[in-house]
Amino acid sequence: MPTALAVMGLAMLNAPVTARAADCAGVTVVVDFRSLGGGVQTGCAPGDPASGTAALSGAGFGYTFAARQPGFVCRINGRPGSDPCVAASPPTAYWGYWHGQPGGSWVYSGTSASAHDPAPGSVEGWSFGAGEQPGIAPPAPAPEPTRPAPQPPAPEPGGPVPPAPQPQPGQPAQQPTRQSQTAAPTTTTEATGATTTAPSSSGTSAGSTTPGSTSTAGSSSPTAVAVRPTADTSSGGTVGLVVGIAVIAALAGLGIATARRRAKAAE
Amino acid sequence: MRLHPGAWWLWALCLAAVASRTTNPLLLALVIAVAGYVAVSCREDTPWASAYGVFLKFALVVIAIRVVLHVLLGGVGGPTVLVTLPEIPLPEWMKGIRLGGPVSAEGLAFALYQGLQLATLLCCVGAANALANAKRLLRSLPAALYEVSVAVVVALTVAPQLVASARSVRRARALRGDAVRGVKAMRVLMVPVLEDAFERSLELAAAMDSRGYGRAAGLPRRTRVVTGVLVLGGLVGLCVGAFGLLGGSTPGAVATPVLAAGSVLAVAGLWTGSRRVRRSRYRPDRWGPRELLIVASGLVAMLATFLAPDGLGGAALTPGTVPLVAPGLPLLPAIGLLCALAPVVVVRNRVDT
Repeated sequence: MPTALAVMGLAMLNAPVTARAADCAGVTVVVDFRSLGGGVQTGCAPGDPASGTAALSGAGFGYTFAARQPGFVCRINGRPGSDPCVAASPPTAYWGYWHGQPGGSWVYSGTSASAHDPAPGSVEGWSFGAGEQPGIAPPAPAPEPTRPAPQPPAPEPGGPVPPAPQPQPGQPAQQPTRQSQTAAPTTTTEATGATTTAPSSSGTSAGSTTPGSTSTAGSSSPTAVAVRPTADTSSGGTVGLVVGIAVIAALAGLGIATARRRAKAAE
Repeated sequence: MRLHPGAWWLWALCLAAVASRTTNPLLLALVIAVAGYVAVSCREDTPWASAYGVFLKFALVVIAIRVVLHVLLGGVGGPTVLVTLPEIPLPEWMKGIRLGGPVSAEGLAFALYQGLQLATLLCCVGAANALANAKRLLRSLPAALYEVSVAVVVALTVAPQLVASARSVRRARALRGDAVRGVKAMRVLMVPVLEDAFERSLELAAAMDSRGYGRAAGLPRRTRVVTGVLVLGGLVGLCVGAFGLLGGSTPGAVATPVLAAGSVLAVAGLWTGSRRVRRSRYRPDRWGPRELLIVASGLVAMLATFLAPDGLGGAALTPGTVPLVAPGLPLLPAIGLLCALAPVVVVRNRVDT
């Protein structure tokens, strides 16, 4: 576990994170966008969210399920845009889901985010990649001195990753559809605030594991916007729905009529 | 003259391939409607011609089982909770499984879509059973496969024979003034129907055996081994390749060569096996332009679904259920499926001339 200790030690030096985590009255949510060319964002879901996904949206993050595997979170804040979000993501590039207690270490979740009920005061971690831990340790309730950090291993960047500005904690986002509204502000604040460390960390840690996803880093906010216009296709979708139902009904009626006619002819 | 049964099976398999690729309920319902309409309008007046109706009922049972299991076991949650069932607490090591608990509209929709997919596959098989005579299909198998064809005959004829047996047993009881319906009928008819169907299948297999099916007379041992290895290798290649192509997660660059290699191996095996076996055929089924048209219409439906770009319906093949959205009609796959109605016209023209 040298990696975990290193990450923990590094992050405990982080006064801003710990100070902010102490403010959170509910569940702290840490989302690690470093593999996607972003930073580590922290949010706070107020109260007692019913599930991990509720905590995620309560902290101001939008998420998308894979269409064939509902419950499998394939995108957070519309990222990565390169994942088609139809089947489950590949094991080398997915959103790993972690639990933690403030000041403790990360534990890989044994259940899905929809099935897990985080206790108030606990920390939820999301990290994109091949199952790596989030870039910072679960934020501690109060700043305290750290244990000596061992040598940082290769995947970790040279310095600690400063947390991105907090994306408007306490945004009341109940549904995944809220992503369309929440995605834009969080990604833009992240893009302006964490640009200093984001490129370097993504270059070292993500270069070997997810070569495809880093390319979308620069265009993340445009894709987040480009995904939105699902609203105007839905008007064409209702026309298609009506036409489809009409065609199916016509075929079914024809089929039943033919079956009756043939049954009568056979008698 | 009847149409070649192989054409009907290929057509139905193409529709099944479409169903395997999508969970869009509109498209799945369209597949069921197309298969059903073709089945009722093109079928012959044969005992197994009503197989489609039986498969349709079976499909409804499958959907019901899928939905009930989802309600009981949970799995997919969503924000729109319809009912909250009493939840049975499970120990910590069984975490991830839930008994009872909230039932969400999103989860119900997902279970319904998945059940519908399975039901559609069943309906495709039902259409093939109603349209084609499985025995005639086996007659046109290559000679190298005769060795397995006795077993395949028993397996393939059980379903249509069951339907025919159920009808005859029921009619026999009705003639004696004992018309039973519903669940009780199931209990009373089960044993005689099963017995009758198996007996008929075994009789058929015995008849085939006595007419020289599956005999390897006069073939040297080496040829038989080579044939067996080639055919088996080819079948494995075909299965792996088809799985890769249909599954969609394997890159096509891997699946296509495997499929091609499997086809070559299988053809080579069939060729070496067929070389020495000479059999005459009584009234052989022939492939004509009509059969080709039927297969082509199925292929059009399959390719329209598999190759549909995102803008023309490729994106609507797997509609999301969380959040719940109304499924759109995938345009190109739907048009392709309407092309699969061509057999109706083909068969009607035959009757007219």
